[in-house]
Amino acid sequence: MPEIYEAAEESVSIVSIASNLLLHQVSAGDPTAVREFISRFGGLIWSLARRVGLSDAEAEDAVQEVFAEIWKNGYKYDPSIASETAFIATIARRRLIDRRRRVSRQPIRQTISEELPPAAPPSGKPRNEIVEEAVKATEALTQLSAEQQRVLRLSIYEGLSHELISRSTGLPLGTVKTHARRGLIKLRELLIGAPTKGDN
Amino acid sequence: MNTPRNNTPGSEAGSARGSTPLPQDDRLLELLCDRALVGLSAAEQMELQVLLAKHGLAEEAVELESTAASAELAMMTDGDALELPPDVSERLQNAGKLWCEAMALRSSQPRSQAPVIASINSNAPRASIGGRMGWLAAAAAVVLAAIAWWPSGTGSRSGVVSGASVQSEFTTLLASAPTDLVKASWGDWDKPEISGVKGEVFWSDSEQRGFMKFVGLPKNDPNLERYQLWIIDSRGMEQRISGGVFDGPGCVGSYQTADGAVIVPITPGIKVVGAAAFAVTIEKPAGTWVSDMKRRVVIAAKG
Repeated sequence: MPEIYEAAEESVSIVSIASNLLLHQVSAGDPTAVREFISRFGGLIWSLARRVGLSDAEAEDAVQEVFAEIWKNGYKYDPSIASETAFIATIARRRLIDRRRRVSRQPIRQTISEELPPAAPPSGKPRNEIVEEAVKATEALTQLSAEQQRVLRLSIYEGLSHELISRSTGLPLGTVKTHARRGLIKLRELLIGAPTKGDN
Repeated sequence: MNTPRNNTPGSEAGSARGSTPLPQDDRLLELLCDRALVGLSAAEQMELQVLLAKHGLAEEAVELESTAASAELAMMTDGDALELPPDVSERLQNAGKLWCEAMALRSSQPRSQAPVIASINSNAPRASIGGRMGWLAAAAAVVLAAIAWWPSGTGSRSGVVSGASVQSEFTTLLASAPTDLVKASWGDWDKPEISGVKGEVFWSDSEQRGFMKFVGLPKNDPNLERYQLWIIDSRGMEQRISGGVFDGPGCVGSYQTADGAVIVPITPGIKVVGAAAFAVTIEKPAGTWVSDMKRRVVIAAKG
């Protein structure tokens, strides 16, 4: 266990910069690491925040929340079970969903695009800094049923509520929820190798 | 690529290397999926905490949030890529400097007297939405919190404290920032009798103390009815714990801040183990041991 983990077990402990991991150094308050972290991941977090459809001011607040959360909790990062990008994206996504609900009390979007996005993942190239994450997840997504892919894409990427997905696809609401739930659980199985019961 | 497993805030870092089996509870799975995809209402969040406590699971243990995050990364393309605007970057850098200063202060103190970081104040409202000082103000709060000291001998408390000492004890708890300090925001409960009450609840299992902060809580007539706090811990909803009967603004036992917020100490009758959610009802003046939960006010769930 990295020394920083042990140090963080007590709130009065002195967090050490013994780790060479960027997230640990950030959490310990290493100025160089903080600058590098903002430089490396600021664009990704900003991109995620802007996709949520918040106003400029809300997006800026949301980004602040995400960074604050990472500074506080970076010491928990364990490279043996996640990449830095995955760790950061998970924190960001949680914060942004909470922010979205606080701001609008509604899902990300309340309007449906004239043209629905395709069921399959986009053909565009993933951003460089998330290639590692994207490759495996993209492969896993292709192993879901077409309807599961479509529903998850509308939910995760387009940010539609279950109700809007139902209206836009014509699928019954219960069916949308079932596809979303089973698809996400199946995706989890594919990504981490966890056994899943009752799927598909 | 490895996908996060128990590697997110709130989880026990490094405590689990294997994946957690899916809980055999349809409702719990439904709530976990909804949280990962669309988020939960305050009531659903409370229900989730109760079910997780019932199954002995950490919120991140089932890893559906990290799965959704990986999927979103996979779906993003170059077209989604944005650069951090220079002004936003500058404000983050300034906030980062303050964070580093706070941590340096912390590490420069002897262990027994080390000031602790109370909070990065991640939910702090912008000091000036139009202006650009909100982040600095929030970060400055971190530094101020970091130089607060934990006086010895104040960890215990007995009975109802006077209004005058509530603020002091409340500040002390925040400054001490015990590692298990729960901070959750109040939200309207389902069909509340009083709506729009805001604020937060703070609780530490290890210290067995905490406080509620309310904004917009109406004054009550203690001779007719009083507010009562309910704590849902690892024992679940059915064995919810009374956190005490209390009154709104202007009554004994509470403290009203300059901005009108009311701070009330939590006084559970028995030991709380793994507090997961908090709820406030309106009850008869003496309170009740078994509430029908019909006169609901607010709820807050550990996030």
